[in-house]
Amino acid sequence: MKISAAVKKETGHIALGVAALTAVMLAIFWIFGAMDASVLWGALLGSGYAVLNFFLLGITVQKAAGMEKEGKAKSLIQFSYSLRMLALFGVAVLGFVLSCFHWAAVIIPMIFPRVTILMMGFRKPKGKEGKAEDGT
Amino acid sequence: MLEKAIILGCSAIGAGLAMIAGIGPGIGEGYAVGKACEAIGRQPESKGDVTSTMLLGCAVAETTGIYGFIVALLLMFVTPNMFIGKL
Repeated sequence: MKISAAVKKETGHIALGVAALTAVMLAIFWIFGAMDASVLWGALLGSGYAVLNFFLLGITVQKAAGMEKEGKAKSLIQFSYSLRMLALFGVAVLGFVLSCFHWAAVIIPMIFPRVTILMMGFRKPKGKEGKAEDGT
Repeated sequence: MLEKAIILGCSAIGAGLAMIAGIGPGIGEGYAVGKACEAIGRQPESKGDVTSTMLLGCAVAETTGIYGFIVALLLMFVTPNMFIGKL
């Protein structure tokens, strides 16, 4: 299956945002003197899964958008949501159970995609929305 | 011993209740995608825009479930140790 340009573009934005916010999080850990290898590994696992989760959501949404039957698309996205939550549970449990990962550094990056989207909304020029609504 | 069991039990119940938050995003995402399919069916040329908007919308909707999930994990793994340590 070919990945659409919209999915690639949005995943790129999210990956950049997550990387920047992870750097901020690591800086905060460093300032508080809690920085060690487990924080780095935890941040890598957490931010990596956050981006992967968004990418998988993108692939599912792209597949669902190509479907003709509304009910089938609905089931597909709900099934994907369940599987991604299950994978998130696995990642989080790994972060809590294994001592080589700092649990907070694994959990905090999970909300970074939401923060990135919020920041993207602030950054978007206002004229673009008006144009789209006018259909021009 | 009994206090420890009560703390663990209450944490597990709290975690279960927090996971109720995971039901909403699943239903909401499904509904949004269904409507997006309808929109693409009406205007096939807007597929790219609809996919992009829907993707961000789904990600925002999903965060609510993740918040609930994080609260559940904290209740399961972090809070019991905090309270049991004080006993």
